Amino acid sequence: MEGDPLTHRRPLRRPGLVERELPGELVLYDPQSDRAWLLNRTAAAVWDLADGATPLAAIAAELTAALGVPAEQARQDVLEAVRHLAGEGVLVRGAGTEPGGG
Amino acid sequence: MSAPASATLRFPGCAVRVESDDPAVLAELARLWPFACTPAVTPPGAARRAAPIRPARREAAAEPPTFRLVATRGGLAVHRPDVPGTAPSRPLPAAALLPVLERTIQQLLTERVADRLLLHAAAVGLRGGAVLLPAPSGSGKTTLAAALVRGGAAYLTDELTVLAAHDGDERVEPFPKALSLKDGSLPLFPGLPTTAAGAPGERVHHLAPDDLRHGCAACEALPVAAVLLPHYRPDAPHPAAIAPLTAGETFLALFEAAANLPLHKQAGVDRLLALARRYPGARLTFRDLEAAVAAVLAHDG
Repeated sequence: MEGDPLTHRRPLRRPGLVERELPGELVLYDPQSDRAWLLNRTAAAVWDLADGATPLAAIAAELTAALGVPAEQARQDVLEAVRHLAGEGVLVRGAGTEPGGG
Repeated sequence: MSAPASATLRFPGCAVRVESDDPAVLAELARLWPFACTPAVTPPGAARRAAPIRPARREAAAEPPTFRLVATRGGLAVHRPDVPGTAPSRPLPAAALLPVLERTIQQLLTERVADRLLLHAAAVGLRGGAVLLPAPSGSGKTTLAAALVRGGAAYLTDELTVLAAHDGDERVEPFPKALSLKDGSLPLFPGLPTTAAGAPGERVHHLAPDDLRHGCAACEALPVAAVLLPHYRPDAPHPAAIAPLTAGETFLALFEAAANLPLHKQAGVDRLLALARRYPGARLTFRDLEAAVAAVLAHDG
């Protein structure tokens, strides 16, 4: 049972990536594979809070508090960002994440 | 068949000796890279052009490793000083020999030129600064660069931009190879002498910079002044339109255009980021070449 992904998923930043900030954006670079990703401010906030312990719901709440994004919009944005970042292998599953989460 | 002759192309950090039993191959190399080419045996009809600059010979004191390419009617063989043995000759149709030779030489450059960043980008000089035109093949960058040069811009390169760090800034070193125009672009430059290479459908036409506009090649490195991403679209809604990019989008475009980033790793990424922060770029979408040239000239970077 996976349950509500916002409660159960606790994504974790993949170690070894280099971060570089730009105005309103974040660049991630993987020196191993020579790949780079450009994150918008929502994805950057998700990345910043993805410590493997913080559930997505808390990340969405932080997005609402910090950027003034409406709560429901923030939840959707966070889910979408996590889906993209996990698909790229930039986020991995946190220690407490259930199978399929992360 | 003629006796084998050779020519040597000298670039910073990389020299390529090409041997061929076909004088036309060496003549075309001299036409493609006149600033770097030293024919050991001058092929018939290959007039030496006065080079506006000779970047390779500036560093000729330390002779770089020499690659040896043997181009014959049987194909292309590559001999590398860093790889034991000899790569077997790769059979090629006659029409493919020159394009493959050109690509091989550029590939060797991207593997060996470690002290400069190389970008798949055209570059022209305007108002004392370099305008970078990074784009994938087929985006119209050579055509746009040629039109800008015909209109008065200085010619830096049409597809391999050489970036050198200089006092915390980036300068574009001239790499004034012959411009490689595709079939579809040739009618836009009527009456100019070109030589064709490649099979029908993939053919390119080499156009010497001096034939485009005499003396157009830049004589010195120019500081980067702007980054414009050309995108030719026959169905574009406007003849030419410029849309600003964020610094991040500019970085991604430069990153994707970087040809030798594995030699530079994080230091190269930081150089591209610094460029993107300083010169946030713009996308130039165009269907009309004259309108595109006017848009570039009006762009203040």
